[in-house]
This record gives sequence, C-alpha cells and structure tokens, in this order.
Amino acid sequence: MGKHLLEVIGIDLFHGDAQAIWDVSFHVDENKIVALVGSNGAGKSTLLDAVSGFIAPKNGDILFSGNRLTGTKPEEVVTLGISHVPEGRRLFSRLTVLENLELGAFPPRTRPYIQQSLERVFGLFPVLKKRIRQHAGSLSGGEQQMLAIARAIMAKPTLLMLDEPSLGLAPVIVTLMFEIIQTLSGEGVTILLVEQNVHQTLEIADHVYVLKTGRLELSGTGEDLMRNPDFQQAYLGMKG
Amino acid sequence: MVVMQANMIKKGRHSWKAACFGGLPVLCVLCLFPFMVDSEESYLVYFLFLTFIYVSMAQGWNLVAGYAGQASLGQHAFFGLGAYITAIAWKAGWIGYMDPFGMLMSGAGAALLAIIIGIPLLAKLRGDYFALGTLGLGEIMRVIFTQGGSLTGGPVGLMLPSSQYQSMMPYYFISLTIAVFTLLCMTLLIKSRIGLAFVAIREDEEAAGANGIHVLKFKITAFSVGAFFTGLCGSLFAYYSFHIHPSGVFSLSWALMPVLMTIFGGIGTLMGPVVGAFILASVFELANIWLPEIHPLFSGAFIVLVMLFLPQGVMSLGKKDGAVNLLKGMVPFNRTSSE
Amino acid sequence: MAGFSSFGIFFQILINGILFGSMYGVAAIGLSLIFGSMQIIFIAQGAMMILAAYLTFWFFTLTSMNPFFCFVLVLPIFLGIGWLIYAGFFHRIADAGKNPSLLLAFGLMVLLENLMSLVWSANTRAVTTSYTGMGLSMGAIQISFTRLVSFAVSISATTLVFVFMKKTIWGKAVRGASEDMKAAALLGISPSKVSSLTFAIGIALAGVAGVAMATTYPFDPYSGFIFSLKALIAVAFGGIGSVAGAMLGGILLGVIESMSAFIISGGWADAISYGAFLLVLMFRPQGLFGRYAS
Repeated sequence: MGKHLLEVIGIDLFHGDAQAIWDVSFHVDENKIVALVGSNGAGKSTLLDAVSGFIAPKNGDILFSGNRLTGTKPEEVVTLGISHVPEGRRLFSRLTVLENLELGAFPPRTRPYIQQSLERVFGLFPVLKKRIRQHAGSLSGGEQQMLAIARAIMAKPTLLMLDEPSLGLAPVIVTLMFEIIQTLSGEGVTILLVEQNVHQTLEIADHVYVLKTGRLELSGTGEDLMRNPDFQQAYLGMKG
Repeated sequence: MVVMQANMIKKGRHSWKAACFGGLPVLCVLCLFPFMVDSEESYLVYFLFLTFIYVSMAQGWNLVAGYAGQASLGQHAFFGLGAYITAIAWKAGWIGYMDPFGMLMSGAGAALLAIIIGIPLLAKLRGDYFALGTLGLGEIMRVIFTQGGSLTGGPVGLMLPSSQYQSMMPYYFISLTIAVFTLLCMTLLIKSRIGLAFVAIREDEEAAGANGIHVLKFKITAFSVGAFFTGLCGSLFAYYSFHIHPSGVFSLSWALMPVLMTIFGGIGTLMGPVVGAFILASVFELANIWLPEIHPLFSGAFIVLVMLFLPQGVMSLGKKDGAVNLLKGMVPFNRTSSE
Repeated sequence: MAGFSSFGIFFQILINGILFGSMYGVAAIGLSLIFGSMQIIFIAQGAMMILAAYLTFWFFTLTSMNPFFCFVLVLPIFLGIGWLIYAGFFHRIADAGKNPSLLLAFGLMVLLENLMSLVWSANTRAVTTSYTGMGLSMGAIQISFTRLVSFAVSISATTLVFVFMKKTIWGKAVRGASEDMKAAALLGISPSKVSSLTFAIGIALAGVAGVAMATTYPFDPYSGFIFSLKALIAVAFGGIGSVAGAMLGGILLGVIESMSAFIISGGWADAISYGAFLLVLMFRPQGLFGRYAS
C-alpha cells in the first residue's frame, strides 16, 4: 500500500456562502505528473488554493506525505515542500528578475542553496539569465511564465503545483512549457498541473482528473480518457 | 448566484414584516413623545432630533457602500453643500424658514453634485481609490466655500436670522420624517430590481456587467440618492444652527459618523444604520455628559474597541456564530478565522 | 537685474517647496507601503508625526538636547510602536475587510490626538533652538538652517530605508508584499511578519517626519489629519507601494504648494493640491513617475 505524496479526501470548499467544490477526492503519487482539467469555473484553482492553505475545507482532509496538511498556513505549506504557481503568475512586477528569484528562495532551509538553485533555474530557462536585471513587469508573457515557474523552483519543492501555465501564451511557448514540465518531472519533482489546454496535457500526464462545476467527473490515464466517448465529445471536440 | 439572491430576498421579506410589526409601535411612541415632555427643555428631544439625522445620513452611506459596494469618504461634501444651498437661498430671500421646498432643493443640489462628480469618479476609480477621491472632493468643497467671498461668507460663514426660531417641535418631526423616509426608500429600493442589481454589482462587478447590468448607471444612482438624503440633513442642520461655516458643515465628522455608525450597526443590512446610529449617538452623548473633559478620548477608544471586537457590526450578533465570534475575539492576540 | 531677482524668487520658492515636501515624502513612504501591502489607509500617520514632534519637544525641553539627536531616540521607539500597532490592532481584524481597518485607524487617530492634548495641552508648540533663526545665503536665496538639516535627515532616513529594501531579503519581501501579499505568502513569506515589519517601517518614518517637522513648523495635537491628507496626496502622485515615488510625490506636492501659495492666495492653493490629487487618481492611478520606480 504505497503512500501518496498528496492526498485530498472528500473535501467541500466554499467561497463565503457559495459552495465551489463538492466531495472531491484525488491523489498525487511521487514523481508523477497529475493533471486537473476542466473548463472555466470548474473549481480547479480553488482546489489548489485549498492545498496551499488559502481556503479551509469545510469537510474532508488533505494529507501530504501522510501528514495532515489541512489547516496549515500558506507560508508554512511552502516550507513543507509544496510550491504553487498561481493563475496569472502573480510576479512582483516592480522587482527585477533576480529579486523575484531571490524571494523564491525565501524559506530559510533553501537560502544556503540559493546559488545552486539559480544555476539550476538558468539551466532550464537561459533567457532569464539574459534578463536578470530587468523588471519582471517588462518581460514578455512567456518569459513571465518561465520566471514564475523558476521562482517556485527556487524553494526546492517536492511538489510543484501549476495553475494554467499555458494561458495566453503562443503555441510555440506552450510546447516549450510542457517540455520543461517533463524535464522537471525527470529531475524528481512531482507535478500537479491544472489546465484548460487538454490535448497537450493528456500527452504528458500520468494521471488525469476531470472536474466539472465543482465535482469530479472522470479519472484515468491519458489513454483511458482519450478512448472515453463522453470525454472525447465534451473536451476533445472542443479542441481548436 | 441567482439562488443566493433569491434567498437574500426571502430573508429580507421576513425582516420587512418584523420591521413593520416592531416599527409601528415604536414610531407611534416617537411621534407622541415630544408632546409629553417640555420639548424646549427636554434634552432627549434634542438628542433624538440629532440621532434621526445620523440615521438618515448613515442610510445614505449604507446605500452607496453597503449595497452598491462603493465606500465613500466624502459625504461631508453633500452635507455641507445642502447646508449652504439652504443658507444662501434663505439669505437671498428665495426660500423661507423651515421651507420644505428649500430642503428638497438642497437635497437635489447635493444629488446633482453627486451625479456631476460621480460620473468621472465612479467610471474611473475603484474601491480605495474611489474612497480617496471622495475624500478629496470633500476637501475641495471646503476650500471652495472658504474662499467663496461674500456669497458664502468666507471662513466665518453665513449668519441666519435666529429670531425665526420658535419651537423644537418642527425640527424633531422633520428629522423623524426624513429618517422614516430614508428607511422607506431603502426598503423599496432593496426589494426592487434596482436593489437586486446593486447586490449583483457589489458581489461581482464584472459578472454583473457581463450580465447586461449597466454598472455605472446603478452606481451613480446609489451615489446620488445617498447624496440626496445627506443634503436634506445638511439643510435641516442649517435651519437648526443658524450659523453655517465651512469648518463646521464640511467637518470630517459628517463624513465619518455615518460610516462608523453603519459599520458598527452592520453594513449592507436594512436596520444596521438605524441600530448603529442609536447606539453610537447614545454612547457619544453619554460620554459627553459624564466625562466632558475627556469625551473625545473616550469616543476614540470606543471606536477602536468596536472595530477590534465587532468589525462585522452589531447585526452580525444575530447571525449564526455571531455572538461566539465576539467572545472569541476577546481572547488576546486571537483571530477569528484564517486567511 | 530684475530678471535675476525674479529667477531668484523662483528658486527660493522651489527650494522651500523641496525642503518642505521632503517631509511629506518621508511620511508618504510609510503610508504607501502600508496601503500597498495591507490595503489599509492609515489615516493616523499624521498623528504619529505629531507624536514624534511632541516627543522631540519634550526631550528638548527636558534635556536641552539637540533636537536632531532625537532622531536616534525616536527611530527605535517608533519602530516598536509600529510593530505593536499592527500586532495588537490591525492583525486582529485582518480578515474583516477594509472599512473596519479604516475606522480603526481613525479611532486611533482620535485617541492619540486627544491623549496628546491631555498630556501636552492643546497649545501650539514649536521647537526653537539657538540656531532656529539662522540661515544660509546663496546669492539671493535664503535657506533656513533648520529646514536644511531637516531635509538632510529626511533624505538620509529615506536612503536608509531604500538600502534596506533593496539589499536585504526582508526588505525585498516588504517590497514584494506591498505589491502582492498573496504572491508573497505563496513564497513562504509570512503575511503577519511582513505586515508587522511594514508597519514598523511606516511608523518609524512618520516619526522621522515628525522630528523633521518639529524644528521647522509649529504644531498642535490636531494638525495630524492635514498631514495625513497631504501624505495621501503624495502617495497618489508617486504611485502606491513605491518608495522613491512617495518621496518624489512629497517633494512635488511641496513644490506645488509653495508655488501656488506664492501665485494665488493661500486658501486656493489647497484647492490646487486637492484638484491635482483627484486628477492623478482618475487619470494616472499608478502614479506620475513611471511604472517601475522602486
């Protein structure tokens, strides 16, 4: 009975009085790439916020490496080894690329390794090294997404959660993004990916969960889902 | 979202009935009361007169901030303008003492200012920036009227014929009427489709706009109706104090009192401003009576304590968990929820 | 000769504006950081300045110590006060929304003003020293000595804060948080710690501004609100969350006031400041000095 790295068990999530998530359970195993797909408003970001500690589940539980994660404050979740790249990236636009990265290594356990982490990050994203003194707000969309991911990696996470990394990016950059995700996975980082871009997600994910209006609809490997007729109609039919 | 709003209206209907049943007897008492005491000597008559004004102004703010979601820090602009319109028109002989037409005109003038200023302000500013903008507006008004020369009487202001004063009664009943009027207006507005639109805007402005609600039009409506109420109060105040000067009628207190009272009572509720106005007015007046030397100190401390322990307002005590949260809040360095 | 003297007058007004405006700027930096990270309009900033001014007055009256040495005392005291104000007051209502915070700040302002009135009486005070009347002359321009030293201290304090924010990890955290608190939390930066630090810095700067003011301007317990308002205008000019912007905004405001007071009568000068405030809020809410001034 293998322990899952991240386990979400039967949680309900509310925004104020409005329920957003009903009884959702899923898990992420170590070293895998797990994807949460679904259209806008399905609640995918809300789930990530719950894992990160911004929203407390009304019911259910969240476990990380077997330990209870529910109720942990967001800044502590990071020190436990979970990094979350939010929707819209949320970079510090007024700070330089370097400063953003330095803040990525804020947790005390990561600060001794800041040089190594920078090298790792520049290896993955050489373009960032060129822009190191530029203000983050002046970067292009693709570069900003890279910086956001790089910043999250600076914290040496065990689990990296990405919320719609391909949103608003040119197809060439999107492909590059997915390659980087696979590279990171190869380096041992477990990935939880939230995406609307279904096609490329299915290609790289080890396991996919489909979310619809706050409930878990389908679950399976990429191939399973591609063969599922309902899924084909609903999601692949929409592929542009 | 629609379900949520339907629920809110259902709850509202209950409070509407409760308000009628509870309110009518109270209204009767309030109407009869001044005849039972010597209205000239009675401190309570004066106190209630002032409190009714606060109720009206608080409702005005509640409409803009609690229902349309735009917190304004510039109500003193409308109060002062209302006072000055009345004062100037009276001095010029266009209106008379306690002239209803004069009061309505002052309210209308304030509403007009709200529309003129509201269009650029509300179109361009959100949230905090809007609040700051209205604050700036209030200050500009004060400067304009201080510099107004003979028209506005400059920094000294305008003196009005206090010999016209006969009795406290008309003041009492007019301010009561205004308060009841604002309460009725609020009730009708909130139950109507306009009210529904306000709530939609407050909850999620972009979604409301996407659903076809002309957001700006509704914001301006809320802003100007609130200004109208406030202008009426300013006018009545001018008739009462007989001496209008910029630092008095454009004092920041007139901006902050309605805010404080509404928040204390419970923002976005129908009775919140009423409850808040009565409780706070009582507290401040009692402090003035019992601790005259240091009553501003006490008021300041009271505001701080209220905000620390009851930030959701008195009406929240009635809700589930309301009283529990209040007690939890009293534990040192505790927080009632986590972000 | 006439041309030279009007140029001289222009420069005089400009210099006075810059010197005075630097004081607004220092107070504005704190306000900007607090507003940016916590969405709290700390309306009591001016009252904090006045408190520092009174403390300076008090030290000076008691010990005849050079008022400028009061900086050394005021800075740690106000760092502590700022930390306490956040931890004891604003931290508790962090989830309650913006209105309660604003009113809390207002309540603190009223409380403080009246406490000061009680302790030091409502009479206007000013700190006059042996060198108060002294001035430097550069050609046709007179610069008051105390104003110059105040300016120097304001700029030094600002530079100190600037260096802290640029070079230390916590300083960068404050800058980041003042732009996006949630993003900071996502990186492991504790919102309560960084908010406490931001508040401490903000109030300490109010303290610096207050000491600077004590030697150059008469004050009474209730002058604080006007300074808060001016600091807010400076923040609007400089863009929320920007340290350099707030200082530049303060200086700009000082110059505008100085020029307006000279060209038009005193009363209307204020209207120009408020008018500029509204215009900037409406048409350039990100501030006047470019997007990435920090």
